[in-house]
Amino acid sequence: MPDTAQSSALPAFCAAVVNRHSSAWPPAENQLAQEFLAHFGIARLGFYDGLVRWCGEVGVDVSTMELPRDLRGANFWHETNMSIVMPVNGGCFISREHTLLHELRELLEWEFEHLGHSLGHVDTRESRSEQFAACVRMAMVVESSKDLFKMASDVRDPFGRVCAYGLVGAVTAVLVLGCAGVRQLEIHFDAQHRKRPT
Amino acid sequence: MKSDFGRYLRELRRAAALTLKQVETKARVSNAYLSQIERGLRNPPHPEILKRLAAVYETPHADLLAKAGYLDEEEQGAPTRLEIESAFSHVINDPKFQFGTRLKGAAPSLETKRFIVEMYEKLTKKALLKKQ
Repeated sequence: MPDTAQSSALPAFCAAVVNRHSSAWPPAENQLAQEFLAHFGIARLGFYDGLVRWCGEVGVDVSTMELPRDLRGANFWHETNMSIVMPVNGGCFISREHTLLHELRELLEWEFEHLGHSLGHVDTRESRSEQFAACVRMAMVVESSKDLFKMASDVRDPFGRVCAYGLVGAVTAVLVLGCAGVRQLEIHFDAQHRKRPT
Repeated sequence: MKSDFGRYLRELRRAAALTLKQVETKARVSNAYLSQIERGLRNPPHPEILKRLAAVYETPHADLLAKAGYLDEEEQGAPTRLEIESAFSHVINDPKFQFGTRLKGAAPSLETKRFIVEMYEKLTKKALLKKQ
């Protein structure tokens, strides 16, 4: 069970967002994503394993289970306990970070509601969480590409340097597009999976 | 019995947005045979065929077996569809409990509803479904 200091991290973030945006509520998803990254520090989040570790630090229990076939992930909020359940092995490699962030975003939603500031209608919650997860992941990719660009700039040979920039730029672009198109990639992946004989 | 099961099977197929032809390909069961079952003209198929259909319709195999009359739901101790739906409704209406999901489709399957109810039971220490 997380201690009080840990479990107050997300409620404290939500309270800070409410204070900053109370005059123009609710904030847009990309704004919320930026605030989330700025508040917790993008470098601390890392990718999937880093995110799971970070969740533990802020009092969100992440566990893995055999999930029903139509479920990619789930989150539960009860009193002060927050938990996320992911499929065994994190699920589809294309979208496991996305799913984790989606679930985290919904936990934030419960906190905002608890504070009396709903982020929007329940019917749009899924799409808003999808947008939030995509925004956070894109920012993470761009952030981590900065180190790669720095490495590219250290290449002494001018032609090699141009090639390195080009390679890093292309990889970053593909990853950013992948973040934005997770849903489509998953549908394609699932369709391929279904084609295999049962 | 035959027509009830047929209607149930047709509902599952429509919920999965599949044609008989698509089910034939995925489950390796003749579409003419499936059509006859759905119209109540044939008895429910063999459990092995039901297993393949359960995978295609993404529904618990036990549910299909029970509907086909191979299992007595009460005797098996598994919660019925009605019990799961009722427990799920209770979970949704508990203001002290919130949950969210990331689904492959638009609506949660019965299996997912049952999973959520079981998580609710675990986290709130309240029993909603009978124990198997």
